[in-house]
Amino acid sequence: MSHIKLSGLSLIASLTASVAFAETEITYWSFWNEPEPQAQVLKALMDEYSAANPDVTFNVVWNGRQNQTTVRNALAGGTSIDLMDADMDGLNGGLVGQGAAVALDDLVASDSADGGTVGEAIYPALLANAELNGSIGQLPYAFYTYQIFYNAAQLRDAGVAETPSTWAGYVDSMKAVKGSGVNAIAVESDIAFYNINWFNYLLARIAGPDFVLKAAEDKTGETWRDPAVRQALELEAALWADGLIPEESKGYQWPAGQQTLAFGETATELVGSWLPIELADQVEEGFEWGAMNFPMVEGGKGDVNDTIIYAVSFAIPEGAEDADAAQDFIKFALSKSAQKQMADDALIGVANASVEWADVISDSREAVANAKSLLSENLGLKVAYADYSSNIYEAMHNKVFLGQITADEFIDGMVEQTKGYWENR
Amino acid sequence: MIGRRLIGLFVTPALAVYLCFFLIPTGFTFYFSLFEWSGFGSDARFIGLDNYRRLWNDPTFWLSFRNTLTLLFVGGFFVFFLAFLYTILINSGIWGKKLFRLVFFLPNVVSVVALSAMWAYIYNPRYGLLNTSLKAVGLDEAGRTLWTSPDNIFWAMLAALVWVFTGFFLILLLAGVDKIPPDMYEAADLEGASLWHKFWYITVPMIWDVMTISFVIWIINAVKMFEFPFAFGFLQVPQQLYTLGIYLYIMGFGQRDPIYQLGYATAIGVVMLVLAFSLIVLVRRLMRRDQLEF
Repeated sequence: MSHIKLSGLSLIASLTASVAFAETEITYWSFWNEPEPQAQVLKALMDEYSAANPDVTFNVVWNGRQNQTTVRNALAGGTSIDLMDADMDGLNGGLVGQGAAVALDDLVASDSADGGTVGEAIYPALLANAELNGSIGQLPYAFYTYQIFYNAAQLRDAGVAETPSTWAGYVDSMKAVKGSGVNAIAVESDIAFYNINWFNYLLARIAGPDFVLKAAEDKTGETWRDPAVRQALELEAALWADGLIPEESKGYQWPAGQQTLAFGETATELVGSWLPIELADQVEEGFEWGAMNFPMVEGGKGDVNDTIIYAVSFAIPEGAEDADAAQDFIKFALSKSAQKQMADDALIGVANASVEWADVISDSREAVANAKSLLSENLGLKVAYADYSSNIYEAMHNKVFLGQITADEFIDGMVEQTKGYWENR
Repeated sequence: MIGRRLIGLFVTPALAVYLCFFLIPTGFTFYFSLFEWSGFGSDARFIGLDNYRRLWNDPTFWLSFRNTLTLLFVGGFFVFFLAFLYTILINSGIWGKKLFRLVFFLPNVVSVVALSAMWAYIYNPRYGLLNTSLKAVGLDEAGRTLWTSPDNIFWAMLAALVWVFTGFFLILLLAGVDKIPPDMYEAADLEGASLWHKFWYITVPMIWDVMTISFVIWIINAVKMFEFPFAFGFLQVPQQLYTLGIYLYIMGFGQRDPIYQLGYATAIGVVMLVLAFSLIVLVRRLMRRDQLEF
């Protein structure tokens, strides 16, 4: 890692040659918990930045995943925060969406140390997701992809030579896996935001990625009666009916489902690219990870390369005392050397398109490189109507997915609740 | 005789603290429930009673309300049934009274997160203690029950919750029982009273004030129940486990979704306050009795 540090230092030296900050303390409230590898990399980056800019120090508060909520409360209490991070959809529905963040358009257009602009270094589809109402109020630096992660050896043993790209091919390959004596698909019954991705992907493949938002915005709720909805429900129900998802999964509480993958009892799971890292200590040495794109449903309007992501972005709260220094640090954190450090040490996907990802998630990088669109969680619903997304969409889907209600009850319920939601707003 | 001024001097600090940290914030709670406010900046918009109108038409609110009442009444029934049962047994003169107190109270000193993780392992469908035990005694069908499936998860959580709270109320009731003069039980023994008769005719009347305060504490706990069901849900609380406290948190603080409806969440808080206050007044009226002196 030392050569990275050295190159980082020289990079900062060149970057900051024209930027001088007098006695500055950047107050950074973080989305990560201090022991997490992502936090450790950020700590190292801050140290490197301070080494190159001796007048700049950091005051870090490691808040963890509820960071944006904590930041909101602190800002309301008059605390000055220069830099914070949170998940991209959360920010677009929160700090940025509420107009409480500094616009970063100038930073995006500014020169990067690696040549070109800061914005040009980032995956275009990722940067497009950061844009809200024609402006960029957050800059993503790391992200995860939602894909079907699998045990490559088990797929090989089942005779699945190539990962399927169509739904029919996928079902056949899962049947082959089941036939080889291994459970095909793991799910966690209690995590609605994992399970909803089956429905999100199926609807995106069948009716296109805009369908869910369109259905939610239809004040009569009738769009939920579209045949695409029933088709998606039938396809996911068939996975249970065919025994590809074991019935006892209905009783799994996280992490019971993913542990069956670690113990070699199940071959695949639709989940975020954090899975190989989460299970790193539990899988046997030499475990071969793979990740496939969610397959295309034959005759659908969507694109097989569209990938749902969960990104983490920096943002600067409006009124930050040291906004300029914070922007300079963001520029540094998005540089190639800093991003490489994040990718290598934290094993997470990074925003800088020129940086390779760790081997265990190399399939995820390929998916991102091939994607025309990177889709946000719940296909934009989480940002636009977060309460609808959580209380109605995810909750209702989990009921139908786990067999508590029928497809008809789901459709009628969605029509009724969507109508009620708009009448009650 | 202490002068009025002196009394005022002693009471003022406590009154000031109560005023600043309870009464004024409570007043503000009512005030903010009349606004639409995300909490970002000063964009609060007065909307009158609209948040309450929305609550009335919100199915998730009613689901949370129903769950809270189920916790209160069904959970309360089992908590006090077991607490009274153990009180009778422990007070019957069995060996190891202090040990049993310690064992029953133990869940109250362990972190809620650790307890919920332990129960997750107990309920695990594959290698959980409950199912493997049931299978070990030949109850194969029962041993295949999915205790944490969507249909069962609320009741599974409630059973664990009863286990946690029973010990706390047992200690309260036993503290009351310890105050009862032993000669009352000795006299009853001489008259040939059964365990049940001693409990019903001596213990219950003599600890009536302790029972009243226990019921009040349970009402407060149940109406604001948050930690245990929240920790039981872990990464994402399933809607089956929503209580009013959890729904308030989801709407005001979002958990993993940017919901941020502080005014609406505050209105839920007001409903919780009114519910708890009404139930406490009701219980205190129903349990009003002349105090026994002994």
